[in-house]
Amino acid sequence: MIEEDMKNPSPVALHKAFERVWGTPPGLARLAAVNHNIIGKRFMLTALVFFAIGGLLAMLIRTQLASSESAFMDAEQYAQVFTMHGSIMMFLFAIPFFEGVAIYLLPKLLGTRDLAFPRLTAYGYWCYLFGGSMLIAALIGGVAPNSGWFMYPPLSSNSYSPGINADVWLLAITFVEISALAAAIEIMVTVLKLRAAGMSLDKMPIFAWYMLVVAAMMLVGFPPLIIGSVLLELERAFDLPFFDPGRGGDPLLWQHLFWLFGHPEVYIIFLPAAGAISTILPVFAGAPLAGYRLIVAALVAMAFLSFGLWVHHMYAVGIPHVALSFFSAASALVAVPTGIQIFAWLATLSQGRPRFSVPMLHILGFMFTFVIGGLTGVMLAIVPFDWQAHDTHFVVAHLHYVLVGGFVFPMLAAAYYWLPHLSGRQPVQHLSQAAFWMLFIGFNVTFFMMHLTGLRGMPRRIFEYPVESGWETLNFISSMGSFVMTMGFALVALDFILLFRFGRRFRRNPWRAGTLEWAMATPPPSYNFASLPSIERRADLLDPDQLGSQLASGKGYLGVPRQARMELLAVEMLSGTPEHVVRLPRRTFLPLWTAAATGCFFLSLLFKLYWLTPITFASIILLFLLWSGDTAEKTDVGSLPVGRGRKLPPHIEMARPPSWWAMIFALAADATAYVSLLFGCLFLWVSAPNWPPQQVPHVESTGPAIAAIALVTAAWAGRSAAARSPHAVGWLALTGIAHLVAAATLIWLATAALPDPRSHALASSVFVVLAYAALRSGLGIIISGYGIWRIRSGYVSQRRSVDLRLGRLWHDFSAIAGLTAAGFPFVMASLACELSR
Amino acid sequence: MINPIISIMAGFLLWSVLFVTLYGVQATGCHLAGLDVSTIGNRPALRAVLVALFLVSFAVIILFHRRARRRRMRRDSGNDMDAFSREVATHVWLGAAIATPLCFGGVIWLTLCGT
Repeated sequence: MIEEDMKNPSPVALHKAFERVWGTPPGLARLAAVNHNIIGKRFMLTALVFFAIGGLLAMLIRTQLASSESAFMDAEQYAQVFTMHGSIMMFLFAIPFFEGVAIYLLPKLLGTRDLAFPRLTAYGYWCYLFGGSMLIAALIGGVAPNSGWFMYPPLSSNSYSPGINADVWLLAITFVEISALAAAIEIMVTVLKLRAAGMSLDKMPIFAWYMLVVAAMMLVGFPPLIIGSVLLELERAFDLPFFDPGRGGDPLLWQHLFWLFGHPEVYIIFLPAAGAISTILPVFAGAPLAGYRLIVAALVAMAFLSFGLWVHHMYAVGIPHVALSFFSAASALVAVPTGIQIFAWLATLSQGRPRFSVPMLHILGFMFTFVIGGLTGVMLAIVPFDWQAHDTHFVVAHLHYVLVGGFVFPMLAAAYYWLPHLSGRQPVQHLSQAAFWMLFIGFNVTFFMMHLTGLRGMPRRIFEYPVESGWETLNFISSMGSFVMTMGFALVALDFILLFRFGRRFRRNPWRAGTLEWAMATPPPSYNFASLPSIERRADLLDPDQLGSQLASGKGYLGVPRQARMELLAVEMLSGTPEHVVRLPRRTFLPLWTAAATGCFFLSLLFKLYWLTPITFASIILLFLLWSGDTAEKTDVGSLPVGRGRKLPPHIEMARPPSWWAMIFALAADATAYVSLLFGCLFLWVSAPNWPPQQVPHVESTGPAIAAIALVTAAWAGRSAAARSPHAVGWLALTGIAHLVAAATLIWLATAALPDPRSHALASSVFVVLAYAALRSGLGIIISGYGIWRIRSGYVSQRRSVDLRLGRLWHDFSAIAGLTAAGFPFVMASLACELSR
Repeated sequence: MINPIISIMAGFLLWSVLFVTLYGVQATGCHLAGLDVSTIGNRPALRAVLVALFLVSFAVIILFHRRARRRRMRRDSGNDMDAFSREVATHVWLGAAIATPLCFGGVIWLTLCGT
């Protein structure tokens, strides 16, 4: 009906028609919102609330340390406060804030209407909100985590943290990490598949390159922390001794797993901020970004190098010199690609005529601060210096210079730059400059002093220090600086409120930028573009004013709403050639309910209501299955007109739609988690004391052989099912049965055929590897059953076979990982026997 | 033809594999050598393996960098995307070629197992 009224639409008629399809009504329906504009803003706003809480905790820390022998807080309160400050700032502010920025901006910069999986975005947001709320509730209840934001065992083990404090951290942070992994997959698929027509990789806006690299880093960086958290929680809850040296565990395993995440995390936080600078700075310089290709190469180098320096947090634990040299050199080397970006920005400035508006002020603040942080980082990369400064306030100063310099200042620049986009108003800027200078001066006074207290030997994390230490004056100055900085943040907040209330309205593109987000009305409509652009130049050298008018009058792709469906254009990954139409699901409460069920799952673990855990897990699976109905079709659709005389098939009839790529990336994350687990087990064999165990597991080959045959059968049957779609019910039934046999055998091996997993880390390692493989097979059963249901419901045909092909990927991966798991007991037993000899 | 995204990453992908391999071989070698710190300082077999791994990998990375550079100089298909991926890949291979001796050159002379 709608398209019939749209033969020659006016921009206003088009707007109304699109808004009916894409808009989210007010009231309770907002809880069902999946639109990236709403979710992106929610992410940012929630992150700012957490930032305020984290900032308040920082003020408590500075109040405590302002004087020697302070009685403001006792040791336990102080431990909770500094642990929560770090955890909130890292996990609940920095990452979610840039996720929010990316969720809000990326579709606009790429010239599309939404992200690839809007319901996943919404689910990620609710997981973040609920997980973060668990931490805050624990803080209010006086049972907040208290072992430091990196939760080192044995301090975080049952012996030294007997309450639920550490459990809160492990479970809530893992809950929040779901959100980060969801965002990573979402961003990667969106950047690779949902760009404007003609936007080949070399024409992408530079921010998209940054976010693509960051998302890939998140996909590989977060699983080791999740595995570490699972292992530590297993130790705390079920006494599996992964970190207990008395039974073959090793606390250093946690440090490895944590920093495998933790160091890339610094770059995961910095790179989006750098991406914002690379987008904003050329606009104010009035010159194109210098060295676009060199910057892309530097990003790739940084991504890899940042994973090669996790041990630089562990120099003091006793690591052979040659291994230290690997990490020390990589730590110093990572400064080179960082430097390439800084020089590219300087070159851009030198080529243009810079305008020193407020965003630029914050960029200059970033440059000053971040360069100092980078230089102290190079100092700490050098082993002998690190040994001297390790665990002192020098390190605290360094990390704040890097994180505040490398994230907060650029994000403030980004906020001042893009708030007009969000609000439709330009800043009045009466307070902006004063706010910047208070922040800048306050920050440097606060944290520069910490270099000095650190060099004078003040350890981090102490809640009091003696009068005679000589640290009091510097600490007092530092605390005064922190109050000035807080006033600066308060002014920024007031400035933003004033902007929303009294800012000047503008029509379009107030900064004269060349990127696509300005080729739309501001604040943006829910659908971003009334029709989708086709571009021929690099996407930061466009003319949004001219393009915006054309797109608003429907002269691009998909310029008419069809069958009340939300539609996007997917492109070939490299060239940007239009490939198919993606039909998005409508708004739904399911992400909220699914996240609530996920929250109940984590709460059941936290309060040790283990009878409830399988019920909540089953309800999560059930709710996820309910997601599948919306975009399904019972008949083949064929080609759909997309405008400009072209016709394209819908995504469900494509060989590799966005969901196929999402599955590939999800499996990559799973593989990283699994490899991290195997690394952990082998690390214990190499490094942990009290090996070999008294009882080396002896495994008959029958059980693993049955599991291996079942897994290979499942993969073969899964492949046959995908090839014979839709006549594949029998094959899928065989897949499910084979997975059932594999899961049962693996569970039997893990629980009955091997020594008690609590006896030694070797037994617990084998137990967890087998249980992980059994879990995958369990999900394989569900996926097979789902395939059968989809065929029987008429959702599968020869063309519409994506469900079965996604299943095939899962079955193949389960087989490969399961085969290694089936062989794992033999490998570990033979390694342990080698030690016995 | 290799996917340009893979070719852009390949240099540091190889560097990462080398990193993990060298670290793993060094740790496992020291573990197998036992805990006698007085003797493990001179483990010629372990050092030989590490140095051989390092040199072979370095040579491979250099070869790939030269190949990437030749491809970049030689081919001008008029395709921007092709030129882009070749140029970025060349930069990345160069980065990996520089990073390799700096990060792993220590296997030639540094203490292998002593802390």
